[in-house]
Amino acid sequence: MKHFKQWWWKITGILLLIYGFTFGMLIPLKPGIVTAEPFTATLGQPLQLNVQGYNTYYTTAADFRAWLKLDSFSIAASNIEVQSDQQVSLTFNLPENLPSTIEERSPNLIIDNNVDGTHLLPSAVYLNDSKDTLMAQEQWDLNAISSLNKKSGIYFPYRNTLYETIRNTYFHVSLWFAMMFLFIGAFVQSIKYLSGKQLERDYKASSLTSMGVLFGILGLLTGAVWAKHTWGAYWSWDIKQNMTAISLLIYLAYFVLRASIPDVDKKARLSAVYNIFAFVAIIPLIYVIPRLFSSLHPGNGGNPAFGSQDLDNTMRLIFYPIIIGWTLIGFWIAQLNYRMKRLGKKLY
Amino acid sequence: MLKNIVHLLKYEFKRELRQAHALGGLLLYVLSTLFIIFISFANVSGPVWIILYWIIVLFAAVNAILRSFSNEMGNRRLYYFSLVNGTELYVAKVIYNFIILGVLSVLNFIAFAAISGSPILNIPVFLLGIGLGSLGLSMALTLIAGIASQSTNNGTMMTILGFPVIIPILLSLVHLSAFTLQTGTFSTVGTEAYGDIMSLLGIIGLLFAVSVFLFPFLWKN
Repeated sequence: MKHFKQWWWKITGILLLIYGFTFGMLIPLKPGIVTAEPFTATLGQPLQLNVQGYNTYYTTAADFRAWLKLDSFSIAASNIEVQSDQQVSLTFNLPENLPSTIEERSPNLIIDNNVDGTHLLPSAVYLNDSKDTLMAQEQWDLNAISSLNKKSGIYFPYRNTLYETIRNTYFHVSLWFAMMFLFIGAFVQSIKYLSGKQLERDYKASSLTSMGVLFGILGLLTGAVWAKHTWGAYWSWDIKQNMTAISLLIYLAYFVLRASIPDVDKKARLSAVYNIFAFVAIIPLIYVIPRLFSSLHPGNGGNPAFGSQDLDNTMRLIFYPIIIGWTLIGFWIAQLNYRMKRLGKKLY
Repeated sequence: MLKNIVHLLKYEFKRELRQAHALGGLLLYVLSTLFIIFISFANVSGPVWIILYWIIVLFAAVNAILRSFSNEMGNRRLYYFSLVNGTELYVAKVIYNFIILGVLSVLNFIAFAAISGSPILNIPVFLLGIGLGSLGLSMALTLIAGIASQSTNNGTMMTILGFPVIIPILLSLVHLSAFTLQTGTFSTVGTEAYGDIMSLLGIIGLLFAVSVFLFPFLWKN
């Protein structure tokens, strides 16, 4: 308990949050491609693609190359016309046919230059009207893409549909982690209360729970803002959203229970029992039920989780510290709340 | 331990039969809810039927289990406390509530089928769902009833504390029942619903473990 009275972990919490907010907001995204128009093309005809880039510097770039890539086959752009930093128009002479072994009809667009490095747009165009797919293998280049440039410096990954909202990882996901740590703290304090019957444990458990609920509400709100930008609505009755809302209801009931019992010891005992029960009851809500239903949320129903694909090493540098930062701040506020309660009851 | 549990169960049933009006009231409650639903809905599709069914079971369960500890208050509680320990009492109450809920759910199913016809084509799997559902609901709600009975205003407390906790069970049950809308043998439908059955069993196991641990603390002042 001694180290909880010290100041170093409070400073660490503040510094980690400042670090997370500053770099989480300031580090730019990697260059990417927003759109390429038109969306469909006819095989055998020249195709002029108008490409809209993001965070790109096309006018200063040299060594400009572009490909349409289907599996391991590709065609290089025959003509490249840079219009502005974010706009370039590419001309492809499309072959008459698709390569024989390929059934996929939407090639990826890959752009490479020495300033922006390599960036790509998955399934950029849909290719129409292939007359005979058996002949044309030789019209496509095999493994022609080589000696690609790499963008140097520190950047967050660019993802279509996420764009700049990828930064919300630090303010949405990390809050859930911190909430879970606070609830674990409350769970442990409740068990300790039941074994020792010291009222201080009860105050600690209730302070930690109220902080956890606050973080949970913040996590829900930041999630709703994120959902507005990526799924199109603040609340879409997604299973993940529903389950987290219900978990919060379970913990809000904890406070109703506390308020309804006048006797201090009885209140402490019943609310410790309910706190342990609630912690166990939210495990199926968060880990079991979402797996049974389809969901828009990453990690469910075939959507990618924030695994190796989306959380790259640069993001980890911000993500892990900010989780620790939120957790420390949460424990600090909970501790202040606990000390106030103790003063109120004159338990010092 | 086992002897005590059996004894408590016998006593529970004896008491229930003496106060048959309570059980009758519960049945009447289910029937009247059914009537209101089918008068206002007239025609109900398969999935909606299932959801309505489980919601009625849920409310019946809350009403039935709310009374669990109404007899063990005050002086009688002290008397009980001198005779049995918390775990025995909890297990006996869970088994008793499980039986009452199971019977109630089956009767509810028969009444549903009689009034509006049943869209359930695979009755064995549905009965398995009823079994697991009654077990899960009685486990979760018995502990909650124990907490609620000691607080003031226990009817409201029961709903506030209980409803969020049993939502995972209810969702798994609705999901499981959706598979019974198709024909097929017990094993084919059972394999499709395997995930739901396993998750229900998992939730039940989890709730049982934590409740058996917690109930003695609730029981002892």
